[in-house]
Amino acid sequence: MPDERPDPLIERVAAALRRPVHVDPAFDGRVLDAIHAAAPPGAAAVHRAGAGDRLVVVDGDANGRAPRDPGARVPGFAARLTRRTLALSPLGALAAAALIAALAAAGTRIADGLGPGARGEQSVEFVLVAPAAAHVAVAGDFNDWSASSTPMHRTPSGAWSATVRLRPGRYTYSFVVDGTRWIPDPLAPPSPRDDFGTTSSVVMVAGRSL
Amino acid sequence: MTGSQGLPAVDVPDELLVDRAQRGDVDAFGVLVARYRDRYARFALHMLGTPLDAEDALQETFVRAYRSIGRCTDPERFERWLFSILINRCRTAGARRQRRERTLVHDDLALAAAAEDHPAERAAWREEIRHALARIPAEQREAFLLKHVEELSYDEMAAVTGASVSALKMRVKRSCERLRELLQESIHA
Repeated sequence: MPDERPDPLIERVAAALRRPVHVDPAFDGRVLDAIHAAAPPGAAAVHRAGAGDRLVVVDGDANGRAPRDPGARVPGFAARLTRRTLALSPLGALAAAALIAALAAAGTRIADGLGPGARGEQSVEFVLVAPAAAHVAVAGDFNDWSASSTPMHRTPSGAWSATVRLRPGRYTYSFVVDGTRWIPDPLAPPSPRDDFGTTSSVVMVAGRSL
Repeated sequence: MTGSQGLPAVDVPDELLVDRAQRGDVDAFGVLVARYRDRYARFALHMLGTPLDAEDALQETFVRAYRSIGRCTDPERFERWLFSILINRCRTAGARRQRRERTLVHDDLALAAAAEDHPAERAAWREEIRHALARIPAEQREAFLLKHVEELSYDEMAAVTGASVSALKMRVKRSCERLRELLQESIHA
């Protein structure tokens, strides 16, 4: 175990660093101005998705509190599609087949998507089947966790879809259902931790790493 | 802070302010900004080395925290949740900016308020400390600041950084060793 006996020099250094620092008096105002200028956050309660046969059932939030809208149970599953990987359980495969048929009927391309851009960007399509939802968005570190900047589009089958162009690398993300429920993708690898101490999902975009 | 009758006002607990902020009360969040601004400004400044970088990281932290306030699932631990965001913002900012050969930090308040003997020597000593701090790896600098300046326990440090206690202890040990080397050099120079 590392030696932790008091060190006079380290104590002097720490004492010097503990002195108050000057903060611009206008700082607080700038923060609040930036907040007012951004989209309203909404009352987001984090819900942990249950796995269960690859169907996501949202019932209450992570702290066991009743959902703010008890009537809005959101059954569904999520499939993450990239140009390189697709992993589904047997039940998920049946559901995905129905989804693919529905999306194909809607004219949505889900195979290779667009080719790589000049900076190696790849098209990543996020999908969530949530027929009871009024609106769904995808939020992640590729859009600064905004619950509104990447809305998903509803298909006749009740699936929600959004395509995002991403450079190669690792991204964490969640789905935001009806502006208040944050749902990780149950079919994607979980992120061990994010900035907010909650579990999100991880997508790896192939190519040269960041 | 005092109430309307000049009596000390009871601080509103974080969890109540967080609850109000989750319901859209920006002013409640403003109280949290004022409550934690100074302490986190100090950490950001020592991590990043310049007031401009520190303020940018701090502002990003608060804005990000408000935009995702609904994801603060344990409002009683808002302080730790917020600190985690700041640590990540500082890591991102530190990775983005180019390493400078020497970082200069102006601690105007400390210099102006210095009442000790030999204020010029004390100011020079603080500059040497900040220069030495900038020369150690970011992970070690972060661990040193959390342990010896912010005075967190190792368990608290693990909770806000995501690193193991054993890794944090090693980083603190190495940071102390390196700071001793660098500052001994400047003392005897």
